[in-house]
Amino acid sequence: MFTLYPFAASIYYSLTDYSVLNAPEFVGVGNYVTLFSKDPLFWKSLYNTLYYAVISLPLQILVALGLATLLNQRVRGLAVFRTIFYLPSIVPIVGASIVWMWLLNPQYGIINGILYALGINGPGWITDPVWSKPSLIIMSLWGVGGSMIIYLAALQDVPVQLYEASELDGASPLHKFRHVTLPMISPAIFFQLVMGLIGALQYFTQAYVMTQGGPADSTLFYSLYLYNNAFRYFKMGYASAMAWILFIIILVLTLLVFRTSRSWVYYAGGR
Amino acid sequence: MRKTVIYALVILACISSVWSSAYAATKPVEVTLWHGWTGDWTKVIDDIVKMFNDSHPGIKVKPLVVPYGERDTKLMAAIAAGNPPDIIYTMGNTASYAARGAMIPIDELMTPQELADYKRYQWPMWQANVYKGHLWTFHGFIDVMALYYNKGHFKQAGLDPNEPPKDIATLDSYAEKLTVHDSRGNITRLGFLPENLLWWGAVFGGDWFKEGKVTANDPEIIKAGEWFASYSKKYDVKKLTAFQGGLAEERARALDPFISGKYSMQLMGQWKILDIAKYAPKDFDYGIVPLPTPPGGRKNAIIVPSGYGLIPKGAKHPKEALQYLLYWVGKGYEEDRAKIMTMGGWMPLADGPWQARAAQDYMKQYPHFKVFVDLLRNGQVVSFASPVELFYSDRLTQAEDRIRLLQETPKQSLDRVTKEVQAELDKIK
Repeated sequence: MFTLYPFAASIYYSLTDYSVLNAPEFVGVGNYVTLFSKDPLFWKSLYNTLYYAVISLPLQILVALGLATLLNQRVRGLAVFRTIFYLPSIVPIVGASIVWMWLLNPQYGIINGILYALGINGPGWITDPVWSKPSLIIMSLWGVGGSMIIYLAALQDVPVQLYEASELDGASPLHKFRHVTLPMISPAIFFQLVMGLIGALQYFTQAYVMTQGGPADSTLFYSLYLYNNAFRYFKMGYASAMAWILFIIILVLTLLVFRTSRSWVYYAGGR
Repeated sequence: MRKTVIYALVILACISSVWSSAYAATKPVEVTLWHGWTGDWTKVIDDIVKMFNDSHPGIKVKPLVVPYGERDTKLMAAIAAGNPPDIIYTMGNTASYAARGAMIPIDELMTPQELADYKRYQWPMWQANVYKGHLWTFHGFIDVMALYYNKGHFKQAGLDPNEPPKDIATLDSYAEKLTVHDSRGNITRLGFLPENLLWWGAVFGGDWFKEGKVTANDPEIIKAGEWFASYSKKYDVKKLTAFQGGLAEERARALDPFISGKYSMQLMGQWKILDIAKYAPKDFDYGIVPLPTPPGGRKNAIIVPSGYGLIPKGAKHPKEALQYLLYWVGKGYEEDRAKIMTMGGWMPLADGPWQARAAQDYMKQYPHFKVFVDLLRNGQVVSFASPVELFYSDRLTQAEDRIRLLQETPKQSLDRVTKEVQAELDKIK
């Protein structure tokens, strides 16, 4: 009941002109038509969001997997390293965003300080429309601790006898990783891909805290524009329509991932 | 037996109703107030509310802090649920709410005589709150911008600290003389940087609306935009961006860019006087002048945002709520209103409170306020109020970015804003 009603209501509102303050007024598919044909900010925000998703998602998987692999080695102080890399993911997003605003500060931030020491004149990061999205992507990599733990668990589940068998067959470490490790942990990668995709397409908090969509609309992400429409511009009906479009985009992309997963995800126990 | 019980009940009911109505007569009407002043300011507002409650025995205002970020979401939910506060402090949203029928116009709560008296009493700022033929509120205060300049920097650069710039050309040449670079070529101190196109557009003589149409591309506003762009060209966008980005996190208190000497001249509001008094070193010497104008510009331009104190539709005690809003105007409460200024720097918008003792003393303590008082008294009010005010200001912020970063010409950028905002406005009418 509590799930179904808002769900159904938002479909109805997406077909209305609704400011919350007045009764909704039915406009048919008007909101959808306006979004697709008359709203450049809709396309801009969609572009920004896809840009973020397409670049941050593979990077996050690579970095998390790389870290997990390293932390799966038997080295001294392993527990300490694991803790350190996991730590960022328990920091609240708002707090982390503010810390990162300091790190990325073009003139006094430590990142540009290091770059300068290396003889590079660092960019303006979140104050520069070219670098603002990459800045947020870099920041997202800092928080991969959560998925790293999942990969680590998956890595430790890989049966040792498979490695021993492949060693007997003369496999190099790289071969072992490619032909034993990857297939065995592919369900974990698949899980992370789906969750990451959904998360990236709903990206909101960091942009809301750090940039409010600026500079020059370069970080106006889909959810941020949706939020503005709903709560700043009194266009709840329009925002509902945006939410449904986002839902359908996520649904289609997730189904696509599921469809392709048959060819690359290997379930040790199944089928 | 049954009769006795009924009698007893009737008597009991009589007593209780008499008792409760007597109680109601002594119990003041409770008015809920949502405001966004956090931190040290919450206490200041509480004190003002207490002053009001003490002077209005029948009314008890109950303030509640609703932080800026959640105000509109909470208010919309509360109005939709039919349970709004009696007073809401908004900023730049009056017409947005009014156009959607979410507020009670205050002219419906006053007699024509009262209304006329208040209009005569207050300086003409109230005009910014007229929308669709109704008056939606009286401003209790407004923010005004002027040019602050650092006299110490003026002396260092060989400029006369008693001759601040009065026109744009002088401002530009002073800015150059006051700017300092470090060995890396970074800007460490900026003489001046145009910010806030909303105000400068008005100072250059432009209008944001003409006859109900959006005119962000008014030729005078485009000129202001070109002036913004000229700084990006002169000082190198990259260096300016780095300099400004460097300031982004230091806006507060002693790290404020003007107080810490990062800017020699800056457009700022009256509240900065109090920040400077609180956080600047004792020998910090500065002056304030009205914003310099270009030839043909608008002297003493002030942008009056709509809002500050509205009564939502569905409020339980609108009449009592109105009393609190009027208290801030100060008619009949001149001493109190003057005292409110001494508590937070909110300048009264009428002559009455200025004649009160507290106001006179305060002006002696902070003579810098004089510039702002004169601006308010002689200000040329430029309106920005419309049902799409927040959308307009959001679009303007992004356009200002594009102009500053030289991504587009000012004309392209402002044409775009005009088109976007007009389209939104058309949807509402």
